[in-house]
Amino acid sequence: MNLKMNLPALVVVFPFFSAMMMVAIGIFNRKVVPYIFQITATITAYFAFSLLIEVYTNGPIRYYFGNWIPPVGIEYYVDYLNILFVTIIASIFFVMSFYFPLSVRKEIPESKSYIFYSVTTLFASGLLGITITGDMFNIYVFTEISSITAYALIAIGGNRRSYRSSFNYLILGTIGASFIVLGIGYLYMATGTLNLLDMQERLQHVYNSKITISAAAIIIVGLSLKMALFPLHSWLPGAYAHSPSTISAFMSATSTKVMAYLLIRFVYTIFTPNFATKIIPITDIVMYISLIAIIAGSFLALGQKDLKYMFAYSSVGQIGYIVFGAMLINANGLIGSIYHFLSHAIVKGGLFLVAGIIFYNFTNTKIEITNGLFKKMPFTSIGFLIFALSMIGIPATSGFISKWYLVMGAIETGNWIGVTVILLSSLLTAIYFWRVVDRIFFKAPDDDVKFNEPISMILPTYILAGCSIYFGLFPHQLVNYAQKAVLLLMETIK
Amino acid sequence: MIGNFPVFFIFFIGALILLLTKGKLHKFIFITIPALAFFALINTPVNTEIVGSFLGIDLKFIFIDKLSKVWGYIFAIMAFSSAIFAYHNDDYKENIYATLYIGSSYGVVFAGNLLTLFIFWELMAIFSTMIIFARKTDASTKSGFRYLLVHALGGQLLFAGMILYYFKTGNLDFGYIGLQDVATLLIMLGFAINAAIPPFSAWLSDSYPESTVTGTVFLSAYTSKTAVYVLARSFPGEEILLYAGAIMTVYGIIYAILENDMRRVLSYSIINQVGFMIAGVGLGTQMAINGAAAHAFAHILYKALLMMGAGAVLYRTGISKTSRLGGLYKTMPYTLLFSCIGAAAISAFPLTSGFTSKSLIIAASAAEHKTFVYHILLLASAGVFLHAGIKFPYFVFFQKDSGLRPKEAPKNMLIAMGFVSFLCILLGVYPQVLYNILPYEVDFKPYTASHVLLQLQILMFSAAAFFFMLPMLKRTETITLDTDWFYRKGGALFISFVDNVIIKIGSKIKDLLFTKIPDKFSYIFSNPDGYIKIIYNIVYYKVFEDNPEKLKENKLLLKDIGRVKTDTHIGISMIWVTLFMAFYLLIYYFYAG
Repeated sequence: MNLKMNLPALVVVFPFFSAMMMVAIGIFNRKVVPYIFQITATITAYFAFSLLIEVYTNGPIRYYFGNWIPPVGIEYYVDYLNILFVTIIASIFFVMSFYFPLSVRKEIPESKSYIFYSVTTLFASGLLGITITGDMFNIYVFTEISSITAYALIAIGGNRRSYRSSFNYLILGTIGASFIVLGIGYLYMATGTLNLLDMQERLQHVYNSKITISAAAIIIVGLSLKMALFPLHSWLPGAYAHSPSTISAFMSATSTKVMAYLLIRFVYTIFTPNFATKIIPITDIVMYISLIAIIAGSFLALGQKDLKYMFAYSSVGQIGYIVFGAMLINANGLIGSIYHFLSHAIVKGGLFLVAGIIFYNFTNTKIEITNGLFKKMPFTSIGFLIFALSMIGIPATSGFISKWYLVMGAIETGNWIGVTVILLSSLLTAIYFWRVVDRIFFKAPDDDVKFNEPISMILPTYILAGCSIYFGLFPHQLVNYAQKAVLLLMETIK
Repeated sequence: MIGNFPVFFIFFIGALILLLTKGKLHKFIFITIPALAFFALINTPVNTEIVGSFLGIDLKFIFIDKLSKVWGYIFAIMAFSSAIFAYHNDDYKENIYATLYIGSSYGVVFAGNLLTLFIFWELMAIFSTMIIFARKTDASTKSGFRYLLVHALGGQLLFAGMILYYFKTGNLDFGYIGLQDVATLLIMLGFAINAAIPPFSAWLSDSYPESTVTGTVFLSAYTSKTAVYVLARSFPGEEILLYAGAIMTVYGIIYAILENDMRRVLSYSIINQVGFMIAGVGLGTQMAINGAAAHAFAHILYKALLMMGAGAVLYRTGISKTSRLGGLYKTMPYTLLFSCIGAAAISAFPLTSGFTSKSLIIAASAAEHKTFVYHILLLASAGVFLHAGIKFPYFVFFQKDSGLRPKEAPKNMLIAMGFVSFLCILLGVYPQVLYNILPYEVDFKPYTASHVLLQLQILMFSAAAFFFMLPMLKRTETITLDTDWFYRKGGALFISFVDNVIIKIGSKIKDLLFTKIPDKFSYIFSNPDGYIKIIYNIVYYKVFEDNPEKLKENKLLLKDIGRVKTDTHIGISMIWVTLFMAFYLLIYYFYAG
């Protein structure tokens, strides 16, 4: 019984139990909970990285719970694709865990703080579970775990708007999740199995069945809702803008992207591209919707007067990139999509951390208060600049690499509309970020008040900024990994 | 080991250290960095390559051969002596920017592919702008922005050319390119802007005189000379460069003679001297490329020396107009001596570096039987003596006594100038030192009787001409209306065209694209639902129900859509979900059935 064998389970189960422990310990001693939280995040990240190395040296892992062989038992299936996402989520969780204590002390009532830590950990474990599991029903269960915790986390902020946003998200999220479970039910009906790979096998015989086709429609709508693909995005801006800073940062970096991962999983592994392109046009339609999402998100972001709202709407656009790349059914497009998953997780997470530091000092995040911010909070401002450049896709930032691959994929498939849209939206991104940059760096500040930038908040922000530049300058390794993942996904086409 | 270590890293790491240090240590490190780079370069074997891959393209990141090493050596020597010259300077920022600027120009010179080259090209433009800004006067800020704009344009041309070139040929290696099509033309234009080939030369004489005493010395050496290098590597033997170079030599002289500000005179003379190099590149024979490289090497030294002399005078007197200077020989004898050596070198007196390098190019043009260009170059050499060789020292140090009694230049400046003067003479007396590092074998004897005689004739006649025409040349003292008019008619017409027409149209377009349209959109999208509602209402009250009052009310609301309340989101989202569901099911069934 060694650690290495059980890594796939540990990545999920460890934070899960740790979350329970936090509540139990928190009742007696609230002060140690943040430390447990940080240790949990660290160990989870360690597990994720060991798993990453394991998978890339020895190939995909099929982990059977309790040694029950599927389709009877539950399987955790770790291949090149989802291990990347697991590692990204775990590392973002790890980096942000240092940011939590100060921000939590500021925004969360003392009496609720240990619950908050516990629920956050549970949320993370839910996300990790969705990505790692190889069982359809398990996907639904973990989706619900991460969603319910998310509703709680948004509402914990405690003002009127956060309750409303949480409720809004609750209704729409539940509908999305029900759609997903309904679709999974249909698929179960058609195939009699819940295991991913087994289902891929058996679905081939029932491609033309009305049940399968309906299942595809229902699941796509459910996923579109959960990942806030325009025009089903209306829950997202409120949820991001009115939740505590730490939660908006962590959620924006991970939650919608995990749903985009599920979309990739459904289209490539379960339905396989043959079905999704030839029998019914899943990919074409979703691709055009994603293009609309890219443009609409950018335009909506242009109109916002609050930083958090602006970032949230820009997330609506950015999820479009990930979906677009995946729906091209082209190796480069998919690499771009995976790379953008990483890039956007880093950058948008970082931007919300910046917003968190601003909130820490101003207790609001209106754009108009950022006049001359560079004089008041130089480190925060420079962090913002780096993230803004990466969002725009300036060379030497990770955003450039992902856009490069997306554009290459679009060109290779002859999708000139896609190329135009990506370039146009880069321009729009440049415009709406540059207005803020202009305020921060070139406008005179309204007063001379100096603000403090706590090191524990600056450091995680800068680590993310550093990552963004690192992955912009040295993309090879990750691109190699993504290429491996893409090769495996593309196998089903032949 | 050190051989595979790209030299420019020394500068970038050094800049980081400079950022963290202060006082004497800072200054000491500032001087040490180029010295280190120089020795690292000596140990770098010829034809060093560093290969890697980026975004799936195999790239030669670094490529160092004999040609690039010539530039590498002189850049290090130049950086070393200018660092000594700038020792008194307490503006740490300027030192850091200068170090980064030099590092980036190394990056350009050692770039093995167009992408690396482009990145360093842009870095160079940015850092040099920072150096110009360092003077912190209104004029320097303005001219810095103009400088940045011109170079941004150059960078964009280069970038566009590079992309087209890549799509056409499928490789990005930086080697011989040759003028063939639009892509290569764009690349050449990008290079030409940095080389200050007219009509893209206004930036040089506009910005260099505006920067600090020390900044000008740095600036004078790198930007235009890296451009000569990239042209020599990618476009040798292009006929158009030959004529462009010839025109530059004359252009530089005309303006230098008409100019009054001493550093502006020297800036125009950079254009003139770069013209010789460009002409050499345009000839493209081995001898001519040797000549261009040698001339770049020699020119950097003596132009720096002259700029240092002018800088020392400016530093002590605060005046840069030649008409208000004069008679300084009494109190600044050493500065005078070194400036005269620089003046002799630029005029190509025998036994100075200018003689041994320039004659290579002129001889190469004669060997190719380019009679017209040969004569233009000869004429230009005579003109050089007129404006830089005699005019600069004469008007600054002699002429009438202006009554100024400044102190001698600071010691560090004198040391720097002395060092450079020594090199100028060394290269003149032992040209073999320079000839040995040139890219091709040199089979040329500068000190033949006919060469020396010809050169002395030219010099004597132009010296005679100077003193005969002194009253005419003196007109620059007060800039009378007619010379002023003449000057503006020629050069400033272009500048005023750019200022008044292009800049105005450009700023209109900029306003439209980056302010007006985004503002409009951001207004609409701050409440898109509300906007749609109001538009709907307006159409409704206009078309279906003729109700002017409501119409007016809604039109007012259009100006202030923040006030328009729309319904909550859940219901609308639910409608969307249902619509999508129906849409997907219909399409899928239709498609599959």
